[in-house]
Amino acid sequence: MTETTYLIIGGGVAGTTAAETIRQSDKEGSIVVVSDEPYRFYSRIMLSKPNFFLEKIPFDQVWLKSEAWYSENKVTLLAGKRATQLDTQNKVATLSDGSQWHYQKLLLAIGTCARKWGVPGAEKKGVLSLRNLDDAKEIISRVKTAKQAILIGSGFISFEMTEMLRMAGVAVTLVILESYYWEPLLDGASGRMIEGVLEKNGVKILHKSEVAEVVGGETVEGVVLKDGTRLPCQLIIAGIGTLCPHEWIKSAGVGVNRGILANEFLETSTPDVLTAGDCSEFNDLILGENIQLGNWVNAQIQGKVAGANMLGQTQPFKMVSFYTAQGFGIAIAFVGDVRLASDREVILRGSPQAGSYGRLILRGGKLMGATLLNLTRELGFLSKLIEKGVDLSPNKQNLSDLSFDLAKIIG
Amino acid sequence: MAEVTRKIKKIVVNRDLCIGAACCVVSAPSVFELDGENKAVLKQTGGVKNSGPAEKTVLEDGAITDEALLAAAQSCPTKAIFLYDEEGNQIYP
Repeated sequence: MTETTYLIIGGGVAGTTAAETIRQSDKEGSIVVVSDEPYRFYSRIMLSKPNFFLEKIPFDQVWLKSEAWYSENKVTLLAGKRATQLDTQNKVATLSDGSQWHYQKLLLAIGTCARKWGVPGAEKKGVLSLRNLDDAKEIISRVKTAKQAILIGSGFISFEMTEMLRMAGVAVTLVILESYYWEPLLDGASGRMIEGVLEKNGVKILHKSEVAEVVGGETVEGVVLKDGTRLPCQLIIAGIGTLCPHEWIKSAGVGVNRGILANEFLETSTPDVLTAGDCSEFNDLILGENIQLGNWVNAQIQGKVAGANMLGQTQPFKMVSFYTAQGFGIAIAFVGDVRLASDREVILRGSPQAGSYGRLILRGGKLMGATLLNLTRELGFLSKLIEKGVDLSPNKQNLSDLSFDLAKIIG
Repeated sequence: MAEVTRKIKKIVVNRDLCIGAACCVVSAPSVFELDGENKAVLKQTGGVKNSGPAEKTVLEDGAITDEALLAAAQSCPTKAIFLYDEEGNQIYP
């Protein structure tokens, strides 16, 4: 058994930022970071970007910390190891190599896992998801020879991968269950605006479609859809969301729902065990409910907050979350809570015809969230309106008008 | 993290590297925002907004510290924010 003051499970942005934050204030306490990938901290967010895939951004740009950073900061990185067991009573974590670590403070920053695509034949070579650097490396190598690719799912990953594949000259068919792109998070008009640019760039979209079977030998050669259509392909990327089994955490008695449950200080139900990043299902002070996000900035700031709280501080995590993506000349941004509940009112801003189209989602006159197409320049103002809980009722009739300056409301 | 030994004179956002993750916007909202293409721009005096190069003295937030600028640059997941000192030497990345 080895002693460590701070044990961090997860070497991604949340875990590494926490380690960095701790070291700024505690120069002596031992810090151990466990990563199940054989790599040091890298830019996971870069993995889906076309310029990275097509090697227009040098591959080495992916590394965000040098090896020297770990030694200079006395951060021990245990790469290529997983935590397999946790005893919160005795504060001991067991790793996949059998080693045992006794901690004072534990951070679970384990990220999340790509949802398994349970279609017959999905184990064939060339059927991939995009979650980590090894996935990216394999896609990079397969893109060089693939002529046709099939993408599953209508979300960020599919959108960015589609652009990358088209830039590489690969024919792309999008197979989506929904009747339009990003249903139901977007409305039909937004979805069609995105599909318009995809189709203009030669992407074929099959709605309400599902793959029944992946065919081929050892490597994928095509798919059969549920309606019997056969499509040839040499590459499939399934972007169908995330889901993580948390058995070792659950059996340790730490409260788990879809993610690892935490309060606004990112403390779990177990003393001295905190959580940060994609895996945390935390009490969002702005929404007033527990939510789980998969987002780089969120994970980075949570890593900072969790690190501070592992030092004994009591910092709450409070941030309006947002996602952005861009491709084929369209800029997509989501901010705040964009789910439509029965108590929400939607105000449309601009229009698809105008080329800029947003949906402002209100509850009781206050902004909860927004979806923005080619309106990212307003993201900052909208975040502020959400954060401050500004009553928009007096300005409601103006909000649809693109020439109405949102900055005026904030003053 | 943010220890600045040389004074920051000039800031540039490399738009080819910028992916609109907006870490800089969260880290230093008085200096950075995203434009219509989801790229980071620098807020400068007179309402000027572009990705630079911009001298620190023309930033709208005249009070921003070098430490805060460095922290924003360091938060970028594609290392797209470049900082230069008074002699034109690159401070970060």
